Amino acid sequence: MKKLISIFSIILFLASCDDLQTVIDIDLPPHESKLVINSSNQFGKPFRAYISHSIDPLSNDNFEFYSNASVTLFENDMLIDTLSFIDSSYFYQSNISVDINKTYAIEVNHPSHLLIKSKNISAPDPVEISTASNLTSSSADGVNSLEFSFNDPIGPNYYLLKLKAFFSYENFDGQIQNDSYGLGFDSSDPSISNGSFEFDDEFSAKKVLFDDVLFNGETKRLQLEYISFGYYDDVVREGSKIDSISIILCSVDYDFYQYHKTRIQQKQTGGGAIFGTEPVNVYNSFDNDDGSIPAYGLFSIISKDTLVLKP
Amino acid sequence: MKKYLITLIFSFFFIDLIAQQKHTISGFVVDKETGESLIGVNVIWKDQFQGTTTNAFGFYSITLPEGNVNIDFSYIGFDIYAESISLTEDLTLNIELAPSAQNIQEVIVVGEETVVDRTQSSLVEVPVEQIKTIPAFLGEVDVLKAIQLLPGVQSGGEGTSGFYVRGGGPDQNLILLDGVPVYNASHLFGFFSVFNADAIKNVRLTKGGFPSRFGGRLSSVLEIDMKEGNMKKFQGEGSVGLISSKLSIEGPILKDKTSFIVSARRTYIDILAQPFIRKTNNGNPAGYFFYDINAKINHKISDRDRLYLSLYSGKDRFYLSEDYNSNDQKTTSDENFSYRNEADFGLEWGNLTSALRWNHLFSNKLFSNTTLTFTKYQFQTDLTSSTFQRFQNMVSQDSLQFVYYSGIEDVGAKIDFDYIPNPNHYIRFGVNYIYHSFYPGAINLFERNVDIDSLQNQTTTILDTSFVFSERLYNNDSFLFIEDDIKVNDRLKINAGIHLAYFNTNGTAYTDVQPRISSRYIINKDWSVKASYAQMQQHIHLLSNTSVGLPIDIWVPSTDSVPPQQSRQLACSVNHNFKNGLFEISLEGYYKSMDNLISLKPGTDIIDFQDWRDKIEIAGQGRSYGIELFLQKKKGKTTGWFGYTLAFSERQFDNINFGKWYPYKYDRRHDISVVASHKFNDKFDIGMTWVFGTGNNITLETARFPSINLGGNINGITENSINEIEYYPSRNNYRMASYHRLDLGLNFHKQKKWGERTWSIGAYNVYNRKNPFYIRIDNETTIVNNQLVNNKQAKQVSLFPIIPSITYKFKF
Repeated sequence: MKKLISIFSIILFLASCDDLQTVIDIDLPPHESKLVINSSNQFGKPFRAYISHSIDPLSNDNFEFYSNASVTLFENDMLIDTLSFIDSSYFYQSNISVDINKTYAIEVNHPSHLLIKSKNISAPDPVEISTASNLTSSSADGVNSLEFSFNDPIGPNYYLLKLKAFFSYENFDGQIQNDSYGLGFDSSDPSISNGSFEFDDEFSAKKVLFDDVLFNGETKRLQLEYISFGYYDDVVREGSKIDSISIILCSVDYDFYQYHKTRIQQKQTGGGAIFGTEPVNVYNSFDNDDGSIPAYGLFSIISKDTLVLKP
Repeated sequence: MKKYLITLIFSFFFIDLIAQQKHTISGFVVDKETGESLIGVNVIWKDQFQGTTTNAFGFYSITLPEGNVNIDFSYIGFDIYAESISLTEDLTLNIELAPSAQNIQEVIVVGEETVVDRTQSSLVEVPVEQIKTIPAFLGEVDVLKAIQLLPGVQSGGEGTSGFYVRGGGPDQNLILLDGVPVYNASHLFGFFSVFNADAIKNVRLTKGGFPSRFGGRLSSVLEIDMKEGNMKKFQGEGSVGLISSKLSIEGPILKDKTSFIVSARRTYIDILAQPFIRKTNNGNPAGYFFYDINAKINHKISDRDRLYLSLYSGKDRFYLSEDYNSNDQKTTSDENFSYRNEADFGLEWGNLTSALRWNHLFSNKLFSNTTLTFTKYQFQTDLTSSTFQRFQNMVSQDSLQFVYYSGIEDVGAKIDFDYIPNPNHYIRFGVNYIYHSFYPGAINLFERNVDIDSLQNQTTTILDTSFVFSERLYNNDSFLFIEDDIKVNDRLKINAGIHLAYFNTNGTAYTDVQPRISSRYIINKDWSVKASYAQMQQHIHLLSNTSVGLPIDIWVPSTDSVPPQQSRQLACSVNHNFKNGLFEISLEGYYKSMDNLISLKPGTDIIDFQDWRDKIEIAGQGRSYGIELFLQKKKGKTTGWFGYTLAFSERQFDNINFGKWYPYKYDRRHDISVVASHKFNDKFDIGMTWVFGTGNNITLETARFPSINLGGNINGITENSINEIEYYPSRNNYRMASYHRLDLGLNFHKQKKWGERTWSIGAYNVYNRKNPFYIRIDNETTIVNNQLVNNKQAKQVSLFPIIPSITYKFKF
């Protein structure tokens, strides 16, 4: 019995030293690189597109942005421009700005990939912030609120909301410096609280995507709570006060909404490890009707309105 | 439908009336040594080779023609009891079967109901004594892990006790402990089941061909019967293992009239490891334990009445405390500042079940069982924190209490009748009612904040609120059933029945008529074929992120927007006995279709502030099919089985996987299990299991691509403006490596003056196979020549290497 117990102890010791992680070869079909098109465009601004390609999940390469692709723009199915590559920014840019009541498509040709043409899209109805409250002085606990409203057109509409804070502070040389940062906010409004928040690696949400299911065709009044001194954010110096806040409200198209909503979900939930949820696939603007995927990415148009609140 | 039922019932009574010149022999069959009733004893009228079996309470009834009759009572492990009777009137014959002295020898029992004879297909019974010989993980004998070794049953993940039957989900198994549903059968995050083998008498698993007395789940019914307690003498058994100890005591309160059994188990790793935990946790306690208690009282009121009261209570608790005081820190020297935080965190879950049963014999042909049940499962996590902060003469005190809880509570009543008019019919009918209370998730939050500023002004803020993000739901769940085991002729036997289900939820009612039929045709004494069809409806669903059977999984009812799950299952089998009944083999094929399945939406967490109905995809479909081969040897020195399953299981939801069918997570093509135990002599026996399974499916990315930040194409690319997107071509697109494992156990028995002691030495995963638990893609970055270099690798994480165990067991 003593002998058995000794053997048992030795095995237990050896077992506890074993590494339970093994590097394995994954037997997946070879990766077929596809074009990746990131083209989110803003009403009134020139068309832009980042062109890159997908990589194998185990590739150690960094993402590469193509400079040798041919990117052409179509308006109402007519070729209207070839976008030029801007070296300093890695994107292709058109001389033509986005207009309303027109449909646009983009075509990308690269020697290593199939020719890709997007579906036709048009700009969503422009949004306008109609009324807004004044900026009040900070409360004792630093939580303040602001209100604004906008008119929602009839039909399904999608929005992106951001707040930007502008502030000033005295630097080490005693000079007044101006700076700005994305302001964290929250809301008890169900349209916002059920929206998709992006947190930018901090505790406080900086952007939210939401839809108009609960206020379709109505004037929507929104109340947001925000922290009036940014101790959550390294950028903000202690004791600094917010001088003004920009409310940035964008009306976005369906593709933009779905793409970023699913992208945020994927980022926040991670892969499906043992305690994780099933992974989320990111919406793709370039899916074919038959379910095949010739390219990845987003081709969309947004319309932006900004209102600055001051005390 | 009503008309048909009335006609059916009357026809049964009519059959009885016209049966002339016949008399009924009835009674109970019990173990001579313990007085425990024996389930499934074969009562054979040898002259015509007809018979019946005892029911779940040991009762039998057989109606035979007047005259001399010879009857055998036989049961595995017991001597055959033969009785010759001159039958002139109805007779009560209670039998005590004696355990066989030749138990370990190769004995051939003639006349026993075998897999060939039994009408019901897809039914497996595993004797608890056999379960105890199977090598156990960490020496802890586990009923559910033994069940996982049967063909058609799959385990969820490495080491876990969750099980999946014929492509069904974990919520589709009805687990009944003494007839009471158990909603979470796992301890320690699924590594152990809640069933203490020392308190269990019998385990039966029905995978298909469901008789109409069962309802409410789609895939299986696992019946676990607790021991009743020894009616003759006091006895006990227990064990001391690596992680837990247990003790069972049973005996008569009034000899041959009232008995009891109490069995308790507790882990003690939290106690043993506490000094080490405190050392690494700044002197603060932390730990985990589980316990469970089974108790039962069994009282014979008269020859016709018997009462049982059974109880199970079990709990798991994880706890962690923290106490930080800045004055204790040697580095803190600021007299103007002090800070103290005390926090207690707890995670707790458990089941409570109880049943009060009354067996009553209305006549020697009509047996009734009335049961009142209560079951409760609750999960709770709580946090209590108090913070004191002082800066100069300003003070801030904050206290916080946070409790999240979810659970289910049932109160139920049922009455079942067994009516045996003659050897050609065995009729069961009854009614069952359960009142469910679901509480799918709520948070209670209390916060009190007191601030004293530099002018000594005090401000108090109190927040006392509840966030009930899914309201409590109350439901009436009931069914009526009737079934008859009909002997059409010597070769053909049919079990036909109907199950009428009614479920009411917030004004919405679901009714369903479920026909059930199974038949057996004997080709010759060693061969039979069987076929069955069963329709099932399930009114409750489980929201689960994972396969592990986590305590956070939430049970929810069907509602007006979430209809009940439904299934239809067809099964056919060929059954064969050989070597004079020493071996049984069956080959069974099945096809099961499922509707109205639910699934959590991708990316959804169970615990959040959303109503559960907003987190699910509904109207899912499922289909599974396969064949199962089962070769079993129940008798002799060497016992065990070989099981093989070839299975396919798929799911479809409109909003998952682009609406296309995809393989279920546990769509495992091949499963093999080999279970064997051999008794060399009274002092030494060994057990082994070897399992093989095709790897589980997981969803793995096949491409990565860059995405520019939300609204981020304003200033061009910066390092922070690129997100990495993973692309998943389809759900469960990758199959992990196969799973296989060998477990061994050696038992050394020795008779002592006070009883018997056994040293059990075993090893789990003997050849140290690194079985896949999950796979992750890991990126280790290093700096080479001032540049970041990626090193992406797929890593397979395994859970258990070889794990030896040693357990000391005793019986007195």
